[in-house]
Amino acid sequence: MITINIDGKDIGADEGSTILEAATRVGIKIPTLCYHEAVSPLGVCRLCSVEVTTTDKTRIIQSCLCKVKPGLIVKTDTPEVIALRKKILKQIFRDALSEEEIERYSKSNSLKGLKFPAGNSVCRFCGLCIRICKEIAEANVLKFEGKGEEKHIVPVSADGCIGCGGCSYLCPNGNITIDGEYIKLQDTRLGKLNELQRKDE
Amino acid sequence: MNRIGVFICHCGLNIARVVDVKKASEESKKIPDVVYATDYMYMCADPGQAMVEETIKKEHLDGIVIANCSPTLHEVTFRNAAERAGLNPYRCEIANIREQCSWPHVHEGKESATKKAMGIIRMAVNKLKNDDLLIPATIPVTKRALVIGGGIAGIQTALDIADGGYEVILVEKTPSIGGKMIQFSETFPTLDCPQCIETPKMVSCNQHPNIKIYAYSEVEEINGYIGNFTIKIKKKASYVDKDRCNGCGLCMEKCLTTTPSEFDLGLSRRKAIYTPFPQAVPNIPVIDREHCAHFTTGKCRVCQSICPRDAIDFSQTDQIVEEKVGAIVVATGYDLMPKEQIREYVNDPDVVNGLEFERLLCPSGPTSGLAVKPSDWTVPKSVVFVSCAGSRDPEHGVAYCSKVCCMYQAKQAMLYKEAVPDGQAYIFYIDIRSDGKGYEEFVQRAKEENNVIYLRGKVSKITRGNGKLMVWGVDTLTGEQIELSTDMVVLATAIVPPEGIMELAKKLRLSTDEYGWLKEAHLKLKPLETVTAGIYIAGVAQFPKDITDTVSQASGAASKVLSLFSRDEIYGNPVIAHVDEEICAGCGACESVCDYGAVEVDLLRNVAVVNEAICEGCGGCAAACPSGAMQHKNFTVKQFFDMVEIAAEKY
Repeated sequence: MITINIDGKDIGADEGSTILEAATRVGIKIPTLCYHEAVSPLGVCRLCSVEVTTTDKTRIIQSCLCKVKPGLIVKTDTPEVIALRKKILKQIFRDALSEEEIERYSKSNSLKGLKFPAGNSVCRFCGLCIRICKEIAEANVLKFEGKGEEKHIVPVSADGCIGCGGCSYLCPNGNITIDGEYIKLQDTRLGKLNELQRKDE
Repeated sequence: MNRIGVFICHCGLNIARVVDVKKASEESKKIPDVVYATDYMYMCADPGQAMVEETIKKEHLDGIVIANCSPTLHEVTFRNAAERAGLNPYRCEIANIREQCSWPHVHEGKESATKKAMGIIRMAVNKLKNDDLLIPATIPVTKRALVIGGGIAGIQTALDIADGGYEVILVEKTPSIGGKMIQFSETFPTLDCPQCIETPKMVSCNQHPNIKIYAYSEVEEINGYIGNFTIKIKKKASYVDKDRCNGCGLCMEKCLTTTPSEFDLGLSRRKAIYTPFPQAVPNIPVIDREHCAHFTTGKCRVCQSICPRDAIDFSQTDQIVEEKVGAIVVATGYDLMPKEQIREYVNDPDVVNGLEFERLLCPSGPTSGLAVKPSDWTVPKSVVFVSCAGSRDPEHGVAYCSKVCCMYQAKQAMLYKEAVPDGQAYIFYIDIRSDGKGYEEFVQRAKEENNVIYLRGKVSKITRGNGKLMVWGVDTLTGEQIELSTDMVVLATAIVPPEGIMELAKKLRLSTDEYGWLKEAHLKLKPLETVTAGIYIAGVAQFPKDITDTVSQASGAASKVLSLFSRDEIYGNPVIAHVDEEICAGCGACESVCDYGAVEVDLLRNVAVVNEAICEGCGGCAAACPSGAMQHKNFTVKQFFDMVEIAAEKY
């Protein structure tokens, strides 16, 4: 057990754990979008970014990726952190959230209550579906394809899917649905529907 | 009946000092139908009994009255003597001239006391004249036992009965047997860990050919009577086919949903498909429907897809299984009083109860045995232990002592001091109760070797201030007010009856005391039996006790069951209710007063029917019957009037 300081409070953390895990265990909330305890962190949404001070330098870094070290000083609500969060929220939600909502959620320490607006289910590339498919189902059926404006999630092959539904459950904006023997990946950005036939049980 | 013998006992001087026994004996000979009367120093002694037997044979007696002490003491003795002499044992009446005559009338002179004794004897003779020759019914015994509760009490009982060669059904509410004991870190005073000493017993239970474990199940309904119970067990849907599952644990590893663990009292998180702890018996996970994403969102079925044995079955439903048993042992254990109920102590994550601290100290617990504060997961520099948090405190509804807190607090303080040598442990106590083998030495060791500071006094208030917990109390030895600033507080909250015990007691027709503990048949002489024949109790279900006492009582209950099973059939009590069907109008007054469920109205014939095996012979129905159709055998209305007639004559 090592001791770190979060927002002025000393807390104990297991060696090898991340700042986010240590904070969550003692009830300190840090907003996240692409994090899920069942899969390894990816750090793409950057909403969980916090200010971390080690002996020599201070920087803003994703708390889901940063491993704890003895004497680490963490601040979760500095003006810089909030400004970053605001920027990310604006980017992710584009026109879906009002200026006030962006302001409110950037200062709040949790995204609880935040909803992806219906009919605007644009993929946010959190990669949860890909990670669950790889790490939990060990099927490797989904992958990112393309870059920038062209980036989207596609099925690799139809045979590998074990039909566990984990991608559908974890997808934060309901882009993936299970319909009978098909898993439907909806990517409104490209305006096309990828259908994947589930493995015959 | 016209050959009655009267035997008057001196009971040393207990009776003879007050009652003129010689005169009573002479007077008794004058009672109509009495052909023989005598007195003797100690009728219950072997020579006295031998005399009764010989006289029955020599005088060809067809009924006897023993004038001595209360029938609760020696009625059985003389009924047995009568039987040995060839007389129907129910033709033996006891005239209680000790408790009801010589003892209360010791200052009123021999003459009046003797007169009253004669009245009592004549009443008994008059009753005896109408005593029926009763023959007890034989009841076959189903030689299988049901044990309710899979804690250490239930496990020990089940193992002992199973080792005796009989089948046992062990019903446990949670997904694994093990009970509270398996949650402990170490056990006092030997400091062996329950994971080492209890798991072998759990495994034996699982592997024993005579034991059938129903985990994640509850007793739904119980019918029948000693030797012949029919039970309905509800097997809660676990959504895991236990015949297919091999306990590989892949589902638990892969499950995407977590929720606070009940086993760790919320100090860690478990998956929605889980076994409570790694050594669980049976090692078959269950799905918690309330949290499982399949049931909450309908989307996820990761466990089903990855299970290599295809054991996940979301279509499972609760099942009711019927089993027949001859005896039941209730070992339902306990709960702890909720901390929130003690309102003068602040509701704070660092104020934990004894069981939570056990989990924190446990090497296989959420912190791997490192004592930490739940609020920030750092090691506390000081810990204050508060004894009697709710116990011995009628204000909080628990007037009794919870029995184990003094000892487990000494143990916890000791383990804390060993883990954190520079930390400080304080124990507030009222009295230290260390009444067991090696217990007092253990407490002394905590004081002397581990430097635990004992403070005699009650804690009146716990508050949070300046980032620390403040404990306010008084040291009654010095009379000083104490104000301690500490990192953590451990409350020895009172041990209370478990949730749902009232409903179970109702199903079993058992009574509970004012707190809800199951009531034994006699606190000293029948501590394992209950008022319902064939149902026994073991462990804390009866009252708080430590593991040693629990295990002893469990083996005791098992031996009661084995002694019942050593007979193929048992004799019922023939002194029970009886219906004269010619008179009975089927009004059901008897059915409504019977506490044992022994009387039922036969709706077809419209008469009351007594189940002779269940009837305990309390007489309630006979008193309630408006027509006199319901009579209590050998306590009929006629017999009562015959006795009252004598009483009304003023002897």
